[in-house]
Amino acid sequence: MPQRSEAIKNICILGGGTAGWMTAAALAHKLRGLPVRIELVESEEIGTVGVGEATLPLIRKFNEALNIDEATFMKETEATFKLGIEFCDWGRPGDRYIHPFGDYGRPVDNIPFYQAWLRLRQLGETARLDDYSYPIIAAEMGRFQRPGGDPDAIQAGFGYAYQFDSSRYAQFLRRYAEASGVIRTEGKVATTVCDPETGFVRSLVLDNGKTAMAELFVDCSGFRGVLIEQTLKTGYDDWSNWLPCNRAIAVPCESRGPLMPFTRATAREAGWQWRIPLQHRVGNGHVYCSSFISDDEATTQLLGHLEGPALASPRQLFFTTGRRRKFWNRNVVAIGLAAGFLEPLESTSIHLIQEGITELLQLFPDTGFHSADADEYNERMGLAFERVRDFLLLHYVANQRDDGELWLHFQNLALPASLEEKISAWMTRGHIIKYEFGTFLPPSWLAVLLGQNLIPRGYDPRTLKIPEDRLRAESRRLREAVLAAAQRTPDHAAFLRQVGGASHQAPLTAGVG
Amino acid sequence: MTAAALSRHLPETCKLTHVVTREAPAQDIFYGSVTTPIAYNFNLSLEVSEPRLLLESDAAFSFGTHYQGWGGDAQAWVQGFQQPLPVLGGVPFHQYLARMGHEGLEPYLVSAAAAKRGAFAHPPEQAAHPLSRAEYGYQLDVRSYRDLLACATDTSRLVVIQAEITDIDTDSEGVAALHLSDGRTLLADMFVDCTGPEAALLSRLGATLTGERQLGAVMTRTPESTLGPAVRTVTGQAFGWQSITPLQGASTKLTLFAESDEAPALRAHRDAPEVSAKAAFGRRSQAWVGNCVAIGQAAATIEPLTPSPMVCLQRDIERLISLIPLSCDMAMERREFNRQFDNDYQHAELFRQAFFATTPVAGSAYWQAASPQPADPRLDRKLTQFLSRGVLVSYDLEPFTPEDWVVLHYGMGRRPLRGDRLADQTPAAQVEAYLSDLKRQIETTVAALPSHHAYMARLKPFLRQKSS
Repeated sequence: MPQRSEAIKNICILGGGTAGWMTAAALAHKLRGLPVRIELVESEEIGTVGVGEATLPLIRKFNEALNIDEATFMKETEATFKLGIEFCDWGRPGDRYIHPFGDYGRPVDNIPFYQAWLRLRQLGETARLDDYSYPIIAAEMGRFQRPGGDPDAIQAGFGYAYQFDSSRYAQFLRRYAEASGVIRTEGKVATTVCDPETGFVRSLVLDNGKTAMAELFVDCSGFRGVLIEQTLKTGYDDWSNWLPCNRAIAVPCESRGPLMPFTRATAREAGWQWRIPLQHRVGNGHVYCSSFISDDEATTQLLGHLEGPALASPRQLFFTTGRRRKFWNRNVVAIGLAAGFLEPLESTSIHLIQEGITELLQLFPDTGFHSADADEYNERMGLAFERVRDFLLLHYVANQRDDGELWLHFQNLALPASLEEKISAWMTRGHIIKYEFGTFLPPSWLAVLLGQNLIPRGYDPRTLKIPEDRLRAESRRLREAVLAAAQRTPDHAAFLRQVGGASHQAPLTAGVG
Repeated sequence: MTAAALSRHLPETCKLTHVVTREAPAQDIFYGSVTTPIAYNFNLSLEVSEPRLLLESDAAFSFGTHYQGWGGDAQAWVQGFQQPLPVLGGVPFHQYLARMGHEGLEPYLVSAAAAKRGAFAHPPEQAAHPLSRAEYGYQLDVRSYRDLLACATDTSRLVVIQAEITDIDTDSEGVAALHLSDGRTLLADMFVDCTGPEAALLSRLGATLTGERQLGAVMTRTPESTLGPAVRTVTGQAFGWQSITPLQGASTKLTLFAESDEAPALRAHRDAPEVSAKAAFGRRSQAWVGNCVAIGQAAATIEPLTPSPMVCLQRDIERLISLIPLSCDMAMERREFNRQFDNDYQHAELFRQAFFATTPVAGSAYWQAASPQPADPRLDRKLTQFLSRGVLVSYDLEPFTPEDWVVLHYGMGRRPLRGDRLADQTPAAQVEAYLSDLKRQIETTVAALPSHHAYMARLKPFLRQKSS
């Protein structure tokens, strides 16, 4: 460890994909005014993965913190609004549900609304729980508006995110970062120079002869983990046993039909397919496990399910689900795919980048690189990854599919104890074991559990205190309020134009009709 | 409290019987005399509104606890209830204090300033008002509070039996029957053990007591014509500590001591003890065994140095209400209750143990036994991170907030060795001006507040008039 603790003056970010430029933009903004030089090294020869095009609501905080204007950002990244994710064929083939960004209904006598719904369901009520969720009904109608107005109104309390072209987002943030003083250096890493005593990375020698020196390195080099793994040999925890999908094929296609404010994830025989509607195209991909389907068959399945002509050749990605044993090792912090990989079933890729940046800023080191900072960072990010992993795993185990070896694998899988207990508590009485720190809070667990037909045997007996006719009347009023509010909501594409977020291409006309 | 809560929340299909074994268990004094702000909602859920609490019991407001003469360095601070401190430019408030080299947090805590001045007013809702950052709980005498809750219990839902338990039948399911002194035998699907530290039911089911710290306490109530400040005072002593809690019409003095130091403690107490109690402080290995769930001291006896005993009691009850079994197969509810209990108890313990992470009082048996060895690694993480650079580590759903922790750290003289780099962005003069302005606003606001006594004297007639 270096002997003296001084303020960091030089930061080098390796990699110019989504993670690299998000990190660069955030550090440049948050450290503005301080004597810190930020350099980003990237090579145009190395493609970026473009980890995900769909996001979670906290991305808005990221943009807001950087004072990014929403309309400008949306226009430049071909972004659309997102109210949730539609899951098709996950419980049983033919099923569908939306995981919204928001809770269902309103508590009744301080009891979560879904408990009252469970009771009404046992009494023969047929309304879906979805009918009590404004973002779900608005999403199904292809409508969108921002939450707001009267805080008690049914349309006030939900979250929204974006679907955008992540390459354009990276470019957008590159302009932002460079305007904020970030220096971009073109080149591929030829040699990494480390301190012989401490093992700290001291400089990167590039193939064009340039050298990048810094006290702190942020490894955003993607799956390869040039610094965190190839140089520091940090090691990787392989989670393939729980999440065995290891390949993906991505292809964009032309848009057809209305512009919907949600991402779609459709279960397939050996994985699942994403559909992300942007303004200028639709992003598609097939995530699968190579043990259960060939690459050719996976590609055929994907292309066979496109709604419009493909706009590019299919691109293949290879990955191992898991996490780096340390996200922060010596003076290298890995962010993005260099830190780990979790399939984008719940749009967590960009979110985990954001978490990594946020924690790095909170624990921003000095040249002493105190172990307390790295320990805390690793603890926090480890928990974040683990909790997302368990939530993703829930999708695979909470279903009734048996139409492929992949699904049979999950039927026989020994689950992490915490997830096993969560499912048991849910099935007994609809009880959700909750935590405070994690990406997915109880309404998200509820959406997937119920959406995938895990109907609890019982419900909270406190709901029996509420007279049945009152419960029915209140539920009906709530349903009607949700429907009325959704009907008053503008069309998604129209709203996008209205707020100045539509790009200059002609993407939205398909969505208006 | 449990009877009141069950009577309010459980459906008619659930028949409730309350066996009252004695008038006033002496060990109730170990619940302490302060609640945190969460008591407001808890009371409301039992249909005890704040006006009712103030009009029908001797409870008073509480901005927190003023610790004095604490530890070997005789530390003093107000552990005030506080809304989240301002976050400026994404940087927590206390990082600016660290950057400017300001030693104290207290001048920026309105609840602490008001408590020290003996002032009180309800925090207004307008966020711009300095007092809006304050939170408050209640100071109470558990006996008076218990009487109020007895009145708040829905008696139509409850059969009350005044009797002693003479014998307990157990079987593979847990408790099978209670034999009572009036000759009756009581059968039930589920038993709730509220018998205090002896855990009369749970202890019969193999739930062992962990923790061997023996403490005693004496309490005396003194009539007062003037309501004292909205703050409890705890003064550290070699034998343990002594607290004074102002209530409406009285104050209570509690002297708590290591068992071996009873004599000096009683001398220091001076007044004749009205209530005396002793207990082993610790927890049962499980709070719910078979068909029997223990609440409060029957599950864990917690030192009332902090509001933990009342907080944990409230949480026990809320947890039970949310996990009332659906049938005699209560395995899932039992596991989940025990998991939450375990977390709550351990998190509350971290907060208590943090009081002892300082210079001990030399030769004090109380201090020698106060901290477990080795120290809990979770507390180590909290302390290490704060001391290293002012980072607040939080675990899931802790009973004490990050504000409680930062107030405690500062109060006990813990200061970060390094600052947050992001706090350097704002020019020093601007930070200084902001801090000075905040301090001045708090001083001005607190100077204009009425005394706790005057406020209560005006509030109660208004509440009476409103309720009539």
